[in-house]
Amino acid sequence: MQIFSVQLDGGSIEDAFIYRTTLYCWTLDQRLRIYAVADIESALEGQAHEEGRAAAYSLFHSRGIGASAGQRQAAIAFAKHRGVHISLDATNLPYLEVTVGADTGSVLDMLIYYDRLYLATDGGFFAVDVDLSSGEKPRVAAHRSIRDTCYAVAGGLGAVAASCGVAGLRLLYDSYHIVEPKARKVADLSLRAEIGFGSVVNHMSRSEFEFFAASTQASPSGRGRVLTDVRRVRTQRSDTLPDYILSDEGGIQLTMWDQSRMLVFEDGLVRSVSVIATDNERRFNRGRTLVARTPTRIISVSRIGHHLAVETSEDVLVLAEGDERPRQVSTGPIVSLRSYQKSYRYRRLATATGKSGLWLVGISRRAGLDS
Amino acid sequence: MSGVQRSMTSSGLLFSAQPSKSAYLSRRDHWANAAGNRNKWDHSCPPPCEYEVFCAAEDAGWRDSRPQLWGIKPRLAILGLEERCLAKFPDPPNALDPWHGYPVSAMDRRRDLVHRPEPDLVDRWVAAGVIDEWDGARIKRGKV
Repeated sequence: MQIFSVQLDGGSIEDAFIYRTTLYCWTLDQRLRIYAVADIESALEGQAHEEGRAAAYSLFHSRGIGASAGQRQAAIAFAKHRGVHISLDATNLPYLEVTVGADTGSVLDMLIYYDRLYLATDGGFFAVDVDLSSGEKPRVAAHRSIRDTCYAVAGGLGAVAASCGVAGLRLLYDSYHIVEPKARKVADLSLRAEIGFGSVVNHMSRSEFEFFAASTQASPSGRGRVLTDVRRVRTQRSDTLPDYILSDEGGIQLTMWDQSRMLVFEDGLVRSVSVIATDNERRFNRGRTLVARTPTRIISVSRIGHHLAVETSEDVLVLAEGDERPRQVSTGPIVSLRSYQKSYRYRRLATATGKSGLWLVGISRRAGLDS
Repeated sequence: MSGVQRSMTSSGLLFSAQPSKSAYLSRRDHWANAAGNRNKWDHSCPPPCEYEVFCAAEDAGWRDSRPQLWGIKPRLAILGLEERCLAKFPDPPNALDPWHGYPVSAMDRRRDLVHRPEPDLVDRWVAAGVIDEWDGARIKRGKV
C-alpha cells in the first residue's frame, strides 16, 4: 500500500467534493469555494518538486489518466516509498468564492452528479447549478427540492437519493438527462442510501438496511441506463450463511453496499457478504472475512480502489484486505470523508475535512504506476 | 456543590433539590462499573461530575424540541464509556420525580437520530463557547 497525503492548512473548509477539473469546498461560513485542480497540481510541483509531481499523480490521475510525462516519471521515482506527506502552503492558491443564495442552514452532505451540486442540509435538500464559464464571477442558482432536513445524498443510475431521516427516502429520477426537481418518497425512514448494481439500498440506521430492486431503461441520451422505479424486495439468508453473520443480535457497527456485496463491520472485523439478486428478493449467500482487524469505533467508511478508508474519532485508517496492517493518516477528528469510486480519474482519491485542514489522500495498492 | 445534600438510595446517589436546582438521581445502572447493557458514565465522570453536567444543562436550558435536556462538557470532553461525549436527561414523568440521565452517542445502536442533538442547540453550544465550530459540525453529522 502506498499513501500520498496532502494537507492544506486552514481555510475553514467543512466539506469538499472533487468533480472533473474542479475542487468544490463548502466553508464553515456557508460559502462555496472553488479551486482548479490544475492550480493545486502546480502548487504541489512548485513547493515539493518531484515529490509534488508524484503526489499529484497519485491523487488526481488514477491509472495515469490525464497525467503529464513528468508526473509519470515522478511516480516511478517514488515507487519504493510507502508514503509521502506534504503540507501544502495554500496562501497563494487561487480560488473563487460565492454564496449559494439560499438559506441552507448547516450542510450535512454534498454531491455533484450530472454537473449539478446537491446539498443535504438541515434546512432541506438543494440543487445548485454553478456556471463557471463566466470566469471570475460564477453564476449560481439554487433550488430547494425538499424542505425537510436531509442528512445524506447519493447518486447513481441517473437518479439522486435524498435521505431525510424520519421524513423518509426521496428519489429524484432522471428525465432526459436532467434530474427531475420533484422527489418521490419510497421509504419512511432513511439515514443514507446507496444506488448501484441493480439495487437501491436504504439504511434506516447504521446497522439496519432494506433493499429496493431498481427498474431501469436505456437513457434517452444514449448514456447507459437510468433508474425509472424501485420496489421494495424481501431479504433472505442462504442456508450456507453462518448465523453469526448479519445477526440481529450481533455487534454490527456499520453496513455498506459495496460493488454488489454487503460489507458488514462487526466484532472487530469486516465481513463481505455476497448477495444474489432476483426480481423479488435479495439473498445473502456467502460471507468471508475481508479485513481481520478494525478499530473498535468506526464512524464512517469509504471505498478507495482496493482499500477501505475508515474514519475514527481521532484520524483516518486505511485498511487493506487480508492481514496487511492498517495505515494511519493523522488527520485528527474530521467532519467529512469522501471517495470517488465512480470516477475514472479520481478512483484512488479520498478527500477529508476537519480542523486540521483539507486533506487529499491518494491510496494505491502498488507503489508507482498502477495498471 | 456546597450545600447539596446527598443520600444513597437503592437506586443510586440522590442529590437533593435546591432553590434553583432540581433533585437529581445518579442511577447505579449507569455507573461505570455497573453490569448490564445500559450506557455508562466514564470512570473520569463519577456521580458528582454527572450531577455537574446535569446542573449545567438545567441552568443553561440546553434543550431542543424533544422532552429532555442535553449534557455536554467543554471542548467535548469524554463523559461516558466508549468515548461518548454527550448526555441525555429525559424530562421526569412526574414533577416531583428526580431527574436522571446517561451518556449517549449518535452511534448507539438504532439511535442515530434520537441521540443526535438538533442543530439549533448545537449552534447555541458553539455560540456559548462550550465547543468550537468543528465539533459542532461533527455533532450535526452524527459523528459524536
